[in-house]
Amino acid sequence: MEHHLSPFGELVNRLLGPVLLPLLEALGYHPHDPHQPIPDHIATQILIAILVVLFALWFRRRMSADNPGALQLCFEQLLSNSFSVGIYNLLDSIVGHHGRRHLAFVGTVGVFVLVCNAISLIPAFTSPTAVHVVPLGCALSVFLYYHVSGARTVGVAAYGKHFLGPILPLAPLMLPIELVSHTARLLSLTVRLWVNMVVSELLYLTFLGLGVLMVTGAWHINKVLGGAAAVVPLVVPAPFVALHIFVAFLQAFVFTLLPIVYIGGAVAEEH
Amino acid sequence: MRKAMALAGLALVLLVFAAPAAAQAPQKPPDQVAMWIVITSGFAMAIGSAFCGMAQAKACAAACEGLARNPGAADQIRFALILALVLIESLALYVFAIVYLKVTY
Repeated sequence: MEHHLSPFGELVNRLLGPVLLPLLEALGYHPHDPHQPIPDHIATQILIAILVVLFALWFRRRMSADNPGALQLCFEQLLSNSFSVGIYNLLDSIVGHHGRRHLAFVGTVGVFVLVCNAISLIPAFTSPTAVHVVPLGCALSVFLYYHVSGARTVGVAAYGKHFLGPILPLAPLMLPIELVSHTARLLSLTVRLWVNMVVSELLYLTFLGLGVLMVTGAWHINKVLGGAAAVVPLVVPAPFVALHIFVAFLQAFVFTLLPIVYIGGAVAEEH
Repeated sequence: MRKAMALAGLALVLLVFAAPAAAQAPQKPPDQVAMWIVITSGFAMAIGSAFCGMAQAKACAAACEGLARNPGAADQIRFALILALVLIESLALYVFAIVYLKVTY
């Protein structure tokens, strides 16, 4: 497949490519294209991580309990809001007791996915989450985190017994089912985010292409008609940008909700 | 225990970084096969999205009914609705992922 870099990716490759290429070669990794050793999504997601951490560090110094600014009030909606879809609301209602200790991980993944989804609204960037590697990384860290926190909360032996089903004679039947269903969570988390981002980009591109086709067709018939039809590719794809914004937020919400559900299932104590 | 876990994590990281991206150039199928891939993927997508649409419609209808009867339970109903819609939607997305990976012309 031919790789076209976004302008940002090209800039990073031009600046850092010559420096990083010998390093990658020394590690035994040979890029497909030596002129563009850094893939677009890697560059963008590292930039996002750095920017979000810097913003959080700057923002932490400005926060105050007595005099919350407008920005602080906005960001507090992320934790708890009147629709009860904030991270604290979800943790309290799903994980319950001691749920809030998982805020750091769940919030990090959620914010990272949200910014990754939404960054393609800025020209010169593409969404890292539209490449299957990035959602897979997020899903893998979620997978490891909920297993580890489940094993730490109820103990390794008790957590392992979860996989054997309610009664022991059923274990040979339950164990494969449980293993497959837990692995399928990994698959479904990855594929859901990745395909949603790919689809919203494809939709935009398809309708842009249709509009351009229409303009060229009209231009061949009549030049005035072609000029008038130039409005079409400018206007028609615009609703799909709105759809992309909606999907970006929805998928980020889903990517915070599902880890919380999994954590809730893993740390639940049987009474 | 802690050391063993740290070692395991390190091994995982090394494993991930050592494996070069498993991206071999996709082999082009013969034309006869490629044609059938396109035709069947169209049908597969249609069937997948049709039944997912029906299932989501059913979920939405039930949620609306529940909301009309008991507006106080809006939060729990909304949560269950979103979770159900997401899980149903991912079935159509699996089909799309296969179509997207297989149709390479």
